[in-house]
Amino acid sequence: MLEIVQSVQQWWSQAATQPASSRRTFDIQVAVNALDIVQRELRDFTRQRSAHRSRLASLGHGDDRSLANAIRGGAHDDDLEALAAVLRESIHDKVAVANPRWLQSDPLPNDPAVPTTG
Amino acid sequence: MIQHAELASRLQAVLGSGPLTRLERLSSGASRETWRLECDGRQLILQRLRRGAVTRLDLEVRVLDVAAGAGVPTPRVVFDGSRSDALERPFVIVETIAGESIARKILRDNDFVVARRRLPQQIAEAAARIHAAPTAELAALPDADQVESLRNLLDGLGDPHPVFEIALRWLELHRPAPRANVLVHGDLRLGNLLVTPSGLSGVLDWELSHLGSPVEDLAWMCVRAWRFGSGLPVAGLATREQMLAHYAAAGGAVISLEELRWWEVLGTLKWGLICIMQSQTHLRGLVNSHELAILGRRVCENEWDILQLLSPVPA
Repeated sequence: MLEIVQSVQQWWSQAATQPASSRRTFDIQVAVNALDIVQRELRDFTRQRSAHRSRLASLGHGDDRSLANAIRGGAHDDDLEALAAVLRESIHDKVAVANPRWLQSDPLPNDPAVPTTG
Repeated sequence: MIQHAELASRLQAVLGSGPLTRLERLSSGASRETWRLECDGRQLILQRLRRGAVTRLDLEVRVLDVAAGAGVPTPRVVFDGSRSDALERPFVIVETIAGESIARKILRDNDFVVARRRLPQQIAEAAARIHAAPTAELAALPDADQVESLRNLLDGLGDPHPVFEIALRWLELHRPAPRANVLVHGDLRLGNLLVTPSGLSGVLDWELSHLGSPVEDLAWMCVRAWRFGSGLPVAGLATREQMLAHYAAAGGAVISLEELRWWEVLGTLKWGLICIMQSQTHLRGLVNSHELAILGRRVCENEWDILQLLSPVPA
């Protein structure tokens, strides 16, 4: 998080001296988007981190590394799909910070050219 | 380094043409540079490897020939410089094909209404032809096991990624019955296809072609990143059932949704790993490190998509 804020701050202080351009407009959008992510992360970070830790603990693991190694070693072969369901909650949290729109289904095109049924 | 004017005169010699009336650099990818040139009224594309690139351009030229022979619309090779030092590094010159490659335009602009209706069948036919191409001359193409390749890729990235581990393990435990190896394009999707208002005009970017399962190409088009915001799973253009039916009707193999899903999990994992690699690379014109940080944070989109494929939440 800190690295994003620092980078955006550095960028703004340089950009303030440059003339306007379409590249600069694009960069401003990127920077604003980055600050949106930081805001969402700050708002929910503590809850997300402790929720993820409880989920790991419920699976018998202290951190992601331990869980990753166990999966690689085949220790979760019999409950992979249940494991996926538990981790889905953590990933849902991460996507809600990074790009909440991704959690919704994309709309079907409103286009007479494209048939939408199988 | 060859200067612009020097490059123009060397190209004129290579082509045995009149003076170049245009020579313009289009883009600079990770492994090659692309130029547009014009001479004797012909529009051509030059691709030249970057210094130190490991791509086998000679193989790629052979793939283009084989694919063209199999009826796939590909750029015609005008000069094969893959073993030449006339431009210092290996190169190839091909004819330009008319068409649009920007996916969002193809999916949304009114100019492409007719094309959108035709594309699902045309793309399925092109895929079936690629996969039916004779591979006798292509034995030198990579044919590595895809699961193993992705595991090695993940191991090179450092940080633990439990969801990607689940995907790898699930792929290992649910492998579909093996199929005979065919020519696989390796990056078949909007963006690498040329489309005119009347439909598909060219299949480009054969850099990642290899030998493997035909289902890999079909599933790669279903990766969510290649739907560009459309709710239709195959390249934003069609349902899975429609594509599989078109593919079989064009002489391709009969493929089940289950086998397609296995390869979609693999494709989504592959795209996730590529996103991580991109976010770790401080090249490619990404000036600000917050751009990289954002790219890194968006890896969770692929994790989400993998979990949706493995155990979908009922809508």
